Amino acid sequence: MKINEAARAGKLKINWSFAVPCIVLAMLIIAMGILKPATLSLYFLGIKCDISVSLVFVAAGQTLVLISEGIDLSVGGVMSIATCIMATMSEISLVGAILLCLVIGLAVGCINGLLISKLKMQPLITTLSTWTVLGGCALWILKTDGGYIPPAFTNFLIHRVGGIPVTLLFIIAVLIMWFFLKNTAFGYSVYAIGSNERAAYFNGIHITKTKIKIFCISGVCAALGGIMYAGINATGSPTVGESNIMMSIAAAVIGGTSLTGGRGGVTGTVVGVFILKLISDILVFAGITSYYTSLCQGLLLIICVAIGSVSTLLKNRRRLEYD
Amino acid sequence: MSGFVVKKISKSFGAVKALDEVNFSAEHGEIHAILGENGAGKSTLIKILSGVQQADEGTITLNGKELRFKSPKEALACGIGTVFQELSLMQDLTVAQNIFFEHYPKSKGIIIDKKLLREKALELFQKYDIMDIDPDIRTNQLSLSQQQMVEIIKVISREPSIIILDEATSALTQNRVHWLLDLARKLADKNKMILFISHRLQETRQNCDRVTVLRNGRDVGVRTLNEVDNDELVSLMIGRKLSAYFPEWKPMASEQPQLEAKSLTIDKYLNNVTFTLRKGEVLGVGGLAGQGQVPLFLALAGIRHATGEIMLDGRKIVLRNPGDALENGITLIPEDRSTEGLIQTMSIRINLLLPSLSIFSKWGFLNRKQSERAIEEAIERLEIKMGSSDDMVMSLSGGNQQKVLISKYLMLNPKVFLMLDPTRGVDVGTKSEMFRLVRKLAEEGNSVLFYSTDLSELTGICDRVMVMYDNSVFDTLVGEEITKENILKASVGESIRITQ
Repeated sequence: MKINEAARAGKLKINWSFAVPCIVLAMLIIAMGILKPATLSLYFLGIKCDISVSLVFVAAGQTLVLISEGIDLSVGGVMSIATCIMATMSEISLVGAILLCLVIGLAVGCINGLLISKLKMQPLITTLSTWTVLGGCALWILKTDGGYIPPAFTNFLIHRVGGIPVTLLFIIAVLIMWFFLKNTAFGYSVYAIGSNERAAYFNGIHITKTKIKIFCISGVCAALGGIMYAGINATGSPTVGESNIMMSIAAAVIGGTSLTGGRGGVTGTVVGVFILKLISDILVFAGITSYYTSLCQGLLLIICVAIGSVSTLLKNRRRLEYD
Repeated sequence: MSGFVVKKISKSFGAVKALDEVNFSAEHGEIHAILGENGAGKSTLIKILSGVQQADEGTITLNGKELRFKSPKEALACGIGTVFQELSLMQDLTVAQNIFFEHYPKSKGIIIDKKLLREKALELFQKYDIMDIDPDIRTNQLSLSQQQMVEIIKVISREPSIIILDEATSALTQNRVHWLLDLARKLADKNKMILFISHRLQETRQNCDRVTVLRNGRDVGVRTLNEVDNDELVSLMIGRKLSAYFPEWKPMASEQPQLEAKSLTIDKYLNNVTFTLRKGEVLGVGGLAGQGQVPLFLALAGIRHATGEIMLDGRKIVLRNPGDALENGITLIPEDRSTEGLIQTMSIRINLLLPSLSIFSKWGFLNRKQSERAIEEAIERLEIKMGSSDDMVMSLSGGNQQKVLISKYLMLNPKVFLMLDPTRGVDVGTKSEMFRLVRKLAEEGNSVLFYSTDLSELTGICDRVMVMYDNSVFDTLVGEEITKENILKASVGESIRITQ
């Protein structure tokens, strides 16, 4: 494979849809450091990781679904119901409550996957329905925010191992899992389905099985997100999932994942999550009212999507078939 | 000066010069063919003439008047109508709405009179001999072939003085090809100019008056078609003598059956098809388009479910999905390379790997070393020309894409190749290479089921030819019987055997 290596060494291809969010994140960190030097500390990193970890899990699952050209709105419902279960049942048995959450996430994912791949239902409407159903269930379990989470669990999550936050370790674990997953046969299949489902099928990829697996992973990730949220905030909330739906999609898209499938990855998504979480901070530090937070998050989203489509446009113009 | 004159048209894409001072001219009442290999610049030229792209340099004149246009709409206003290779119909509109899009017949007020639209469409259909299309039907309910006819009528209805037919026959069934060619002649007789672009040499020869040959972005010759033979045309196109278009081969097929199909049936699409594909054999599949060939291939590839039995090496197999077929060593080179065969936006490497993912992975994890070696071998075996295996498939030429498609199945060491029109849309040179490959695969003991719409390919490389008619096998020709005449006869359901 000599030619390949030469070609690789010759021109290093920059993946702009991943490079841009990294640059944005770096700029945000630098700007914060200038506005408030104290933010460049392990302490601040710990706080940020604690706030972000639940969204990292939800968005990681979402990313996988988006790559396969699907969308999963039910993550909101799963997350809400998980916090509610944690808040009401972890008093009896912490392990039992966690397991129950994971099973629910798995089951919801399985149902989503079956409906979408077997009955050929639209992912958007399917997961919208499951989200609504779950949201209802969450309110039935827990009427308002509150409940009880064993302090030991909260303390474990916000613990620092030699200064390093446990939540950061979780985030790193997500990245390591992603790295492995990406290079498995399953990982290749996910990208193939997202790029061209028909061709993937012709290539012998089992579409139904793969899609069910994708939604199951997303469901479990959302449940984990809920567990983390409940643990860190020491509370359950029947509505917390809702804001996380759009945030999870936004984080993935900002991180370079394409809504049309086939492109992107969890690494970018993690960067996207931190960008979203840091924007509100930087506005506060800069003395701008927090009303502008969602405005800025929205603008950033537009920029990132624009970068994605402009680079595709440029690529297409360059190769406008010479045949 | 009368006629259509293109002078010194150049067009570059980055560093690639797609057209380099191309000249050509057509006269009123003429069907003028444009021939060239893939990459010769035909598509670019058509795009410029139709207004899809603009030339960097050069002029286009019609009857002495220079034309300037920046879009297909403006080109049409200048009198150049193009029937595009990729259909440009709006699938959710009715046939009549498509034909008169932005060109609605005058009616009172702003509301379009549907009745009038229908009448006008029917009038057109009558004028141009179309019987089987209802103007009120939604376009996506038509077959590809019918859509192509609508597309043609749509363009002709604007009465352009130059009509460009870009591979317009490739989507048409045999009898509709005749319809189009007759139509083209009629229009030419009415003093229109027809530019005819086709991969099919024979068709071009029989129906056109003159031909301009393009090669590497230049015009390399204009010939009057009844004064030039095929060899000369082909060597003009490829710039060298094509020693032998078809490879020389000896029949190597053993008597041992590889794949047996017993009364395969798909309701309305396939009727009781029984045949045997022997080891080391190239079995051609012929017949007019739409006689069940495609469903047959899809059924054998596990994509469509058919009743009946499929036996491989004497063992009954069940094909529930393409994965089952691949596991059994049955591979399909599908009809549409770019959307069914390959994933254009993924790298060559991953495309090669996709069908064999399960072979190279254990517990879901890929064995990198093993898979990389296999990929390297696959690339070398078919001499795929490319920069890096990490490049996207869409960066390759049509011929090389076809090679990637075949290579990725070779990695599975399959037994049976189902080839659905594998030479469609590839240039003459690659075609010839493909024929050699097909024969080589057979020599190595594989079996090939080879469907082609080109009769000369069936006579050129097949051990036997199975002709399909009315969704079932009409006849199987062997040895001396394999002639174009016999295939054609059988295609229309006429027996070639002398009845006693």
